[in-house]
Amino acid sequence: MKQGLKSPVFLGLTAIMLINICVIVFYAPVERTMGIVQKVFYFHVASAWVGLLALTVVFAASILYLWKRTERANDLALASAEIGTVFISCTLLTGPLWAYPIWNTWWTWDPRLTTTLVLWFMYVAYIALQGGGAAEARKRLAAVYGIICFVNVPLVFFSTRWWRSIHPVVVTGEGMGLTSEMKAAMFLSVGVFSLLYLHLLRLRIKSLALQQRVKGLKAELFS
Amino acid sequence: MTFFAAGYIIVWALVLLYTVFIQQKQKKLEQELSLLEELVQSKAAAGQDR
Amino acid sequence: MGRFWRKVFVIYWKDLREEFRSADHLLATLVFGTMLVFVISFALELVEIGSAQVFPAVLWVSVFFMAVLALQRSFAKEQEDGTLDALLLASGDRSVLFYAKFLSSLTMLLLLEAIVVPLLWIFIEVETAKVTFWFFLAALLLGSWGLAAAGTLLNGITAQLPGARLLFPILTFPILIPLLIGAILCTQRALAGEVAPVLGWLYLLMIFDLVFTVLPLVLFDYVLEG
Repeated sequence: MKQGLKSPVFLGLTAIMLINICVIVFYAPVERTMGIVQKVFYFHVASAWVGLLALTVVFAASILYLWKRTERANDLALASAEIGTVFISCTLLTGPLWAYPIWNTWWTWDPRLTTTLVLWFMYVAYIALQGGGAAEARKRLAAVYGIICFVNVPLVFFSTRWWRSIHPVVVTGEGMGLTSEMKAAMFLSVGVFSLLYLHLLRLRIKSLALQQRVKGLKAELFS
Repeated sequence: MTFFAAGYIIVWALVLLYTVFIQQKQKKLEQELSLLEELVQSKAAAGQDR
Repeated sequence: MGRFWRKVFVIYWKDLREEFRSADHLLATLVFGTMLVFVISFALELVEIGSAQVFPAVLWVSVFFMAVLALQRSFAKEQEDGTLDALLLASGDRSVLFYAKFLSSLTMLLLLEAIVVPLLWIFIEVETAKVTFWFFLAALLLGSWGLAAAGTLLNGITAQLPGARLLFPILTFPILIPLLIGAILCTQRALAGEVAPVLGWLYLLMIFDLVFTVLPLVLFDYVLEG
C-alpha cells in the first residue's frame, strides 16, 4: 500500500485530522470545572458516534445480503463491524480516562456505559461468527445475527435507562452546558471521524474483495 | 493533562493497530497473488511446450 | 392456522418424548444446575453475604447457564443425527420448526427450574412471609420464555456451524442483557413484596418476549435455509 501514503484521499484526511486536533487543543475553550480533561470528550463522542453508525451500516448491509446475496454486501457488513469494534473500544477506553479524574471512578453502570459495553460484546460475537471460514452459511447466519443485534440495541438502552431512573442515580451524566465553540469542535470531530470511518471502510472492503479474488483464483488453479 | 493525552494516544494507537492489521492482510494477499500469477504463467508455459 | 399449530404440536411432542426416552442430557443439565446453585450459594456463604438480597442475581445467573446448556442441543442434536432435513421436509414451513423447538425448550427449562429454584430457595434462606408469589412466578415464566425464544433462534444459527459450540453462549449472552435486567429486578421486588412500582419491568419482559417470538417469523427462514 505504498502508493496509498501519497494518495490525495490519505493526505486530505491526515490534514483535516491535524486541523481537528488543533481545533480541539487551541480553539475549544478549557472547561471551567473539569479542566483540560474534558477535551477527551471530543474524541470520545466522535468514536461512540462512529460505533453506532457502523452498527447501522452492519444492519443495512445484512438486510441487503439476505436480499441480494452479493459478496459486496457481506464485505461491507464485516468491514463495518470490524471498524465499529475499533471505535467502540476507543469509546470504552477513553471514557474511564475522563471519568476517573472527574467522578473519581473508572466505571459506573450508567445506561450509556452499559449499552456501549453490550454493543462491544455484540460486535465481538458478530466477528467471531463471521470469523475463519468464509463459507456461505457463515455469511448468511452472520447477517441474521447482525439484524438481531441492531434490534437489540434499543432494548438494551431503554432497559438500562429505566433501571437507572428507578434507582437513585449516583453520578449524573452529561449535565454540562456546551459553549458554541465546544459544539463546533464536537461536530468537527464527529465529521472527521465519520470520514475516517468511510476511508477505513473502503480500504477494508477492497482488501476483502481481493481476498475473494485470490480464493477464486486458487480454486480455479487447483481444481 | 496526562489523562487527556492518554485518551488521544489510545484512540490513535487503536486506529493505527487496525490499519496495521489491514496492511498485514494486504501484504499476505499480494504475496499469494504474485505466487498465483507465477503458477499461472508456468502452467501456460508448460501448455505451450506440449 | 390450525394446521400450523397442529404441526408445531407434533414436533414438540416428538422432541419431548425423545428427550425423556434418553434422559442423559436432561439429567446432566439438572445436575449441572444443582451444582451451580450449590457452588454459588456456598461461595457467597464463605464470604458471609449469603443473604436473601443476592437471591435474584444468583437465581438468574444459574438459570442463564443452565439454559445455555439445555438449549445447546435443541438444533445441534438434529444436525448431528442428520434429521434436520427430514424435519424440514415434514413440516414444510421453517417457522413451524422454530415454534416447536421453542416450546420444547421452554418446557424443559421450566421443568429444570421447578427443581433448581426451590433448592436455591432453601440454600439461601429466603423469607417466605413477604413474597408476592404470583409476581415471582410471572417473572420466572416470562424470563424463561424470553430465554427459550432468543436461545432457540440463536441455537438455530450456531447449530449449523459444526465445531463452533462455544459460539452459542457468546452470541446469546449480549442479546439477553435486557432480559437479565428485567428478570432480576422483578424477582427482587417480588421477594420484597413491593410489586406495584415494578409492574413496568414485567412489561419490559413481555416486550422482549414478544420481539423474540415474532422476529423468528421473519428471520428463521434465512437461518435454516440451504
